[in-house]
Amino acid sequence: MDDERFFEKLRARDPEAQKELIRTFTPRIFTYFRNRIKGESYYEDLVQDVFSAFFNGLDQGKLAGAAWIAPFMFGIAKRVLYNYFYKQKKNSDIQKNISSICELCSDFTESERLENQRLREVLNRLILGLPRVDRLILNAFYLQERKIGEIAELTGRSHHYVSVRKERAIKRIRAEIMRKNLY
Amino acid sequence: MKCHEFQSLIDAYLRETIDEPRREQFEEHFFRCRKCFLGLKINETLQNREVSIPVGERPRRFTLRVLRPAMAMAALFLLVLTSVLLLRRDPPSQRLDELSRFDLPLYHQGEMRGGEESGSLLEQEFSLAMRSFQERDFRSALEILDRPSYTAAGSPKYDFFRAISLLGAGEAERAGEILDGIIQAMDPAYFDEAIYYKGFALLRQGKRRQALAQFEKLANMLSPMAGKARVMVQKLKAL
Repeated sequence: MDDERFFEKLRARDPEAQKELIRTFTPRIFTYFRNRIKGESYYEDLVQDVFSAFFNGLDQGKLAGAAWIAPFMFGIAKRVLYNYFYKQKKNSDIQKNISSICELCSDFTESERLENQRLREVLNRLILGLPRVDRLILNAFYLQERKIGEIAELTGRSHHYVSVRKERAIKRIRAEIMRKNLY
Repeated sequence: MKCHEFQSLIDAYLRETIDEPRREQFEEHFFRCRKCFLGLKINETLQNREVSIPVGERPRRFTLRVLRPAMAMAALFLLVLTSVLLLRRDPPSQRLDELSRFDLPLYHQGEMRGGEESGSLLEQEFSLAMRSFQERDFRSALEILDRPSYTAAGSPKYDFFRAISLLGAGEAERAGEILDGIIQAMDPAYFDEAIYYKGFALLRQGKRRQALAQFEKLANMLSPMAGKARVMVQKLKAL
């Protein structure tokens, strides 16, 4: 589906389009909140705030086209985050409000958990397919929290070599996930 | 923010060492870019140690562990089988094929062997035919040499080169018949060569013994072709 057709469907409150939008942006919004609000583990309300504001804005004609979806969503997420910091409280009307607009907008935390679980499974499988040297580098970097220079010294390779292999390994995994549409 | 810049900032973002303005640009970017967001998620998942990264030898899958050696064995078997079949392929017949290839008899423009010059038109066309003949385009040569004017001319020269053209074009039997005619006529101009090439016509028909007899006959004659015939006799006997 092209972007503009997708946008028109969203405006017409097409459930499939809404589902696609939620599927695309929920992980991004979670990632955003998780990295901004450290130590918190419950972002459900905030994510609901974001989608609620998004669909309201869409109904009010605040979006000019498909190209504005991501910036608009990010702007809302930012505003919701600031509100959270200032108010530190939940708007009790949000749940009711969003349900009337988008029936699919519920249980974001669970959907995020499932998405993450799926990603972990995919990663576990793809990592196994990497050459041993790449797994050694990733293991040392991510699990042992070693720096690239340290890994280079340990493996007797150059800093550049280790850095490039690490980046390429991630790119390979990412390309495979995108090619097979695994996430 | 461009994707490559985003990639270089992933680690800083996850470790919270990124400065605020860039952090916002970074976040705005991953809202827009699926590829970069996926890169971030992979890094985040790895950094949070939510996946295992085994460093041992890759566990070999069934296909690799069992099928690869089996496939290697099958390939080896096929190789051996092919070699055996190639070796068992009848080498004499292969060599016979090689032996039945012949060098073209020499032809000189305006060749007068075999009698007086025929009509000049025939000779002109004959020259054209011989041009094709020398280029081993026997079919084109035969288009001229097979014309009734040439077959009826009774010239051993036309007959001989028609026979060789037929031999080259794969019509060994017809070639043999024409060569027989030249041999029976005992025209000295093409007699020896006719015997020699008759040998090849027989070889091409798979008549090895008769071919050998033909070459032996020529080899025992006092003939300029005897040497070449003897070589053929030796080769045929060596088969």
